[in-house]
Amino acid sequence: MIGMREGVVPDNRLVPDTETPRRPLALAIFLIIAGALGWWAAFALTVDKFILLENPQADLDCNFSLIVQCGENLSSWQGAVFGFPNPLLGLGGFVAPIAVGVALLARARFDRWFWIAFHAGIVGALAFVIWLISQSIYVLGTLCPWCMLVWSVTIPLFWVVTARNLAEGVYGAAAVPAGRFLTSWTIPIVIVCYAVIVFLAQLQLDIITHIAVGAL
Amino acid sequence: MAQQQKLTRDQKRELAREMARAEREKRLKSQARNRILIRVGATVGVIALLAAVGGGIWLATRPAGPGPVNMASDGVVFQGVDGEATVVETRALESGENPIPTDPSDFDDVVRIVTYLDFGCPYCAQFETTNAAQIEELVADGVATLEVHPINLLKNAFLGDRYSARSANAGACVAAYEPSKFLDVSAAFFAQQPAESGNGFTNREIVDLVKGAGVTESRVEGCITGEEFKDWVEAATLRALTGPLPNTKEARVTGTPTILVNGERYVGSLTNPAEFRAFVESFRTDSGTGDDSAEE
Repeated sequence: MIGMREGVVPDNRLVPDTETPRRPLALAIFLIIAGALGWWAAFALTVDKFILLENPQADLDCNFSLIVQCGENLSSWQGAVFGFPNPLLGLGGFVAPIAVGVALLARARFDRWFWIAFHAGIVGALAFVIWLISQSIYVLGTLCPWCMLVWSVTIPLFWVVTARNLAEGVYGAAAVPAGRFLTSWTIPIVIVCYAVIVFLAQLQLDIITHIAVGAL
Repeated sequence: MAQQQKLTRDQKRELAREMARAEREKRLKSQARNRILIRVGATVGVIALLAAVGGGIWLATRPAGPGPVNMASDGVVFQGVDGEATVVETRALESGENPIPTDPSDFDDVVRIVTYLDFGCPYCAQFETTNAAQIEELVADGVATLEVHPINLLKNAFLGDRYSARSANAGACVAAYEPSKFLDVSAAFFAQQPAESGNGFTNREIVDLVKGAGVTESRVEGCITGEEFKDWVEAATLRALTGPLPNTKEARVTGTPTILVNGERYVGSLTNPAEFRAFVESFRTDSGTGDDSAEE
């Protein structure tokens, strides 16, 4: 999140026409941190999946209560919707933002098609995460800690990369102002996205009552 | 020379650019605070809106919270164990779960005394100050079991300060967290009962009363001041007042105290210990004077 804070004030406003591109430091650092956190969560879920496969009754570290647990999510069909455990997607997918971030740190430049492909991957990830959130809250009735970490990084990844691509003209000059506007609003938008998830979880799972009776 | 001139021109341009940039930065800086304030304001506004809507829905729809431990039947049950009146431990009811009636067959050949009481009700105080000690003795001796249902009957008494509800909650707190003191607390409630026409005790005063009766468990205090079982008290009261009551032919509680012995309602004197004792004795099977006709 700290990396993102700087990312929303586009440096290119101050230096619009320099020949040598400025290194988008904030964006790069954000991509690396977000990717690393997401990868860490996917790794933890993968390990927990192994533990569950060895012993379906295993008491996972991420199981705190009836609501806050990941055993239910890992054992569900939604947890392996493509025929293999979802976290494997994360183990591979979260390498992309890390790689892009590190490359940007090294002043790499990418072609337009690369940014479009990167964005497409992140849009896909967001779509998947939205589906997983809905399944977790409305079908499984759980809040899985590692899964929530994945949600928490995928959402800002989507907004930051979307805003970046728009602002940098990847989708045409007409979209640049919209991109700049979005860039400056990224943090509020991300916070509100988080708040909406908390809101939906409260409506469905009544977290307040669970906290009140110490059952969370 | 040409090179030097060019450099100078470059430098000039650089300088102008630098100044323009500095000016721009200054302007942006002065705008930055407003930009941040607008975004912080918008974020806080949206979150406040979500919190208000979510909180409102929660308040409007929340189910009766989980009940107290040891009161799965809506009442707390005592039986004689080694010459002591000892609580029969049960789990807590989940939110919205129906109570689990006490199974009489768990206590064969023992007289079952069930009381529905309001700690604020003067007639209950009469009955309890008259009979509580001998009931506890009967329970301790293994002659009887006692099941106490504290309910909130006097909703509008005590100048509307909800003393009945709050004292019933306190009873549930003690039953849940320090049940060995429940009978002492009950006795203290009736011995020190405030007048219905005035204010009842505050939650802090209830805490003092309960501590005075020997409660030491720290969770009881927070349970009383936070009214942990507020919703459960309302739900249990509603169940008692609408019926059906388990293990009796009585349809519902119509007033307090409602005292049931083996399902039969005691309608005798509230202030005559011998009369109640005789009523209980009439149900004893071990003494040979039992009359089990009241068994359903």
